[in-house]
Amino acid sequence: MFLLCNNVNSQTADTTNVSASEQYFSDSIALLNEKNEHLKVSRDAYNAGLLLLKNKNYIEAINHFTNAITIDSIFLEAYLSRAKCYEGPNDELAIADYLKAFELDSSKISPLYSVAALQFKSDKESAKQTYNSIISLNDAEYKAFSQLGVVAFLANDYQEAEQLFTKSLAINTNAYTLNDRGSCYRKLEQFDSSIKDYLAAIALNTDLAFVYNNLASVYAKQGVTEKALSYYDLAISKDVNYALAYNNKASLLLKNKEYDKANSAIEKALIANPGYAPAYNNKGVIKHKMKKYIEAIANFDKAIQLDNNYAKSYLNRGISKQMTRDEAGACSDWNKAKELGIMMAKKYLANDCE
Amino acid sequence: MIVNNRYRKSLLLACLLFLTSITFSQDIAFKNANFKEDKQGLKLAKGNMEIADELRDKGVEKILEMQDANVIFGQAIFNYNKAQSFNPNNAELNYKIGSSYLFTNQKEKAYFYLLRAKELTTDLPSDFLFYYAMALQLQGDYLQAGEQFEQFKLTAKKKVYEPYEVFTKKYIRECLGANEILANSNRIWVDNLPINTIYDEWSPCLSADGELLIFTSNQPNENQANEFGVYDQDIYSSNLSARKFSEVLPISELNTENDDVSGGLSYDGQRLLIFKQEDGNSDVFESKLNGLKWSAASRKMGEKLRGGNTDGNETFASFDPPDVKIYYITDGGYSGNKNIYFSGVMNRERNLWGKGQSAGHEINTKFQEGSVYIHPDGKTMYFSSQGHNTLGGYDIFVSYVDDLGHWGEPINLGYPINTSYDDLFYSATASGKYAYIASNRAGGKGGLDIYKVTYWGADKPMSADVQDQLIASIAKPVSDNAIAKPIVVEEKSLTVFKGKVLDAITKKPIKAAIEIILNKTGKIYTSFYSNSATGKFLLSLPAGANYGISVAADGYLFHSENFDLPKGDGFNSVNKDIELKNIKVGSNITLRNVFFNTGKWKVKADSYSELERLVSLLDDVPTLKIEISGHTDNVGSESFNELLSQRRADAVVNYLVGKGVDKKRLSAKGYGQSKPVDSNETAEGRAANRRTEFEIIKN
Repeated sequence: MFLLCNNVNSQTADTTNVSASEQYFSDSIALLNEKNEHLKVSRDAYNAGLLLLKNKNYIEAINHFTNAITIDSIFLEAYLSRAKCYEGPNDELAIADYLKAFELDSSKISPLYSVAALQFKSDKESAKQTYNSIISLNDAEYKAFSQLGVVAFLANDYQEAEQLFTKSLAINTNAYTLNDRGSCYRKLEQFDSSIKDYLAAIALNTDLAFVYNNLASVYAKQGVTEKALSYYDLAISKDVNYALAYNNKASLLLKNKEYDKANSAIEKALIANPGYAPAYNNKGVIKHKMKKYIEAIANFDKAIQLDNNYAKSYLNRGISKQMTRDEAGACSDWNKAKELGIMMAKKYLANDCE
Repeated sequence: MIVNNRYRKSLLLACLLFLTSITFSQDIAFKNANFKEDKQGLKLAKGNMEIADELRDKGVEKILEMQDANVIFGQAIFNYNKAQSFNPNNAELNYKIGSSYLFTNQKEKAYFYLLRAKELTTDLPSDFLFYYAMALQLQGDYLQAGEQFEQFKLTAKKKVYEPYEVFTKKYIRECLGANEILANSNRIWVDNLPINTIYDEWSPCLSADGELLIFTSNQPNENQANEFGVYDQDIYSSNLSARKFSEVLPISELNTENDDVSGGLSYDGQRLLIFKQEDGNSDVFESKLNGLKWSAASRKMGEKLRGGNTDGNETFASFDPPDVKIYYITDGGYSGNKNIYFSGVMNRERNLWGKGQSAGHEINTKFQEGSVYIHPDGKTMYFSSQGHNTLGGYDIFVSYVDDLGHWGEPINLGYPINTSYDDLFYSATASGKYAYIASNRAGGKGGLDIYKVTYWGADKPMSADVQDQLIASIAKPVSDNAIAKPIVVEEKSLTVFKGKVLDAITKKPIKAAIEIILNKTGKIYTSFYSNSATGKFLLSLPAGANYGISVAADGYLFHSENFDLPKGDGFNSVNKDIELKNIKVGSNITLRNVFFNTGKWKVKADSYSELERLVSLLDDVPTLKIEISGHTDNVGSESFNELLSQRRADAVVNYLVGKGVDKKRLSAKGYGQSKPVDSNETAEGRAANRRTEFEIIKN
């Protein structure tokens, strides 16, 4: 203010007597004001972009964020927001923006997590490297360990995955990682350890329906039917639309030849998720076991309609068709199942189809 | 008034009695009073009934003696039906017809007549309940049938009950045990074959590869039907085409005016066991397939009344895989009723066979055994019997032999193979997947019919899908990819090895001697000949061994194959044509597929395949020397034809030399028109004369 006043006063005074330092100063102020003006435009663009992002108008949002960045090339938040817009349609650009954001402020690791998550979709090795680099920056990054565990799990390296989840849990015990490690033990057929971890996960967070479901499935594998059924029911109680749990419960009841109950459970799975192909497959199996072969076939038809490469359903439908004396249909289905990789179909073809 | 009331009451009573008498007077007796209008018809009807009664009585006698009597009962019904068409409302007649049908191949008709008899009157012979119970059992109403048998047991006088006692007790046991057998129904289809007619088709005999079916039928043939309208039994064959047996041809070489019945077919389809009557009893005969014709049948198992042949009747028979025994049905054994016996060969060339031995007390019963079949695995016997635990009539059973050669406890094959009707015979493919039986069950085309049994094996398990969200951060659930494995059922592990023996160049069939060697022991497993007309051969081999196969024919290069069949392969079918190379000195083989343009001597490209086969022969037999000769028809000058034929022979030799054959092994000669093989008067003859040949000069 003072400077402004002086400036005004100096304007009414004799201007020929402004010193060099005063000029410099006023120039710098002018520059600052100009800069502030630009920054304002940049922030306005950013804010507008945020609104568009919120309304999922990503293309327009990107334009605004780009404007903001053009004005202010170190506008970190704009890079982050633009990256969010790029995710999906153009992951490469998203990754570039995240990396730029990290470059601008390497104290914030979250952009690297975003990069890794995007890489995870198509290039697990790159994702792995990114997580490892996160860990190299900070070996207390439990999420990175956990995610590396996921990468290993998906690569079927369950031993490696278990070790990584254990490292993560050593830093931070949480229900999600306990669930994941529990799943490792399940794959390694160390069912007691699996159950222990799932129970520990539940103890930390009693609302995770999928953990109850996973625990139930381990009990089902062990043949502990009552516990399995009760945990499926618990999963459902946490999420009344949890189609997976209904489906799995139906599968267990089917195995125990309780066909009516299994049918009831599968109907609920389909109400929860009408497009859930495995439920149609299992419903077909139930109908087959009840010797209702035509209905069984209709359900397998539906499963295949939802998933054209549903190999198990082709195999099953062939078996049901054979029971209706549609031998040509059965052989055709087994042929398709064989093409999709089911070796059992090859045996059926050899024995029953000439 | 009182008198009037009394009068009214009497009138009412009289009316009631009259109405009641009308209701129960439907049973119309064969009396003059009932047929005043047609006394002649009545006389005829009564005459028919008398004839029929005599036949029926004979039939009942035979049945009570544990013998078949379907022919006699058929004749009785023939006569009864004449009386029935005159008066269908006689209870006794309906009872007699119904009870007669029970012992024919049209058993399903029995129930109608017996029920009718019951409806017409309550005053029926005391053995009616027995027959009625039999009819109920045929209907599958085992509970009611059992009750009626019990009722018969309780109410019939001793004199009436005694002859039926053993049957009544048996049938009660059958009714009690039926539910258990029915509960074990299997994944099996039983289908009536298209070749069946309203007549009897029965005694199916199948080759091991399932492609040839021989059976017996009394459908109309070239001979005269007898006085009852029944034709004699003849033997027929049918070949599998498009997975069906449809065309049926009589085996005229074997059929006569008398009954000719198929008994059993060898696994390769080359030998057929039949039985026929000679001098008052039946023996088993064997016919061999020579080319496409069946030979005259000669007595099997020794001379008449020697070896396995008795003064009784030896009928349905089966080969066994090592071809050293014949299993057969005979009533010439100790029991006097039909049982299963076997006889072993002692000297094949002299047709010397051992005396028949019983298949054992586990197999044979005091009731009748009807048929026998030994599976190509040599360890399994399928037979039909009225004894053991049947659903009714004959049922088919399976028994397995132990290491000491004893046949084990029979197992009922269950429904739907067996029913309350007669289910007999059994002939299967080597794989065991298909079998053919005969049955007079209801719903057939008439009488005995042949049915195809298809085994679908163990229940195929369904694969349910379990999905879990194994990783918290991944929304897409992970499937449990396991596919349910079927229950492993011990399967017959056999390989059908079949094919043709052919000349390598001409592709003509060859009759060759084939030996199968078990390489582990070096012993010959079996030996036989391929068919001279078709070159075909067929055999089944147990898996889990390495085999050598040698094929030899006079004038041909010896050929051998080797194949390994590990255990666990399940059933395999190996189809292989074996080509033999002709090496006999002096053999002259026409190369029908060597072509030249008219008047030219350049070998055409479509000749190369034939010539390559010749090159292959020469490579395989390095000592072979041949002369290539060219021949023409008589069109054109002799000198030109000689020159042309020489140049053509040279061209073929040059081709062979070009393919690496040593020139010293080849010679070329043009014979022109000097050696015709057919008349030059016709176009076909001239075409035959225009040829290239090769003759084996040295090997």
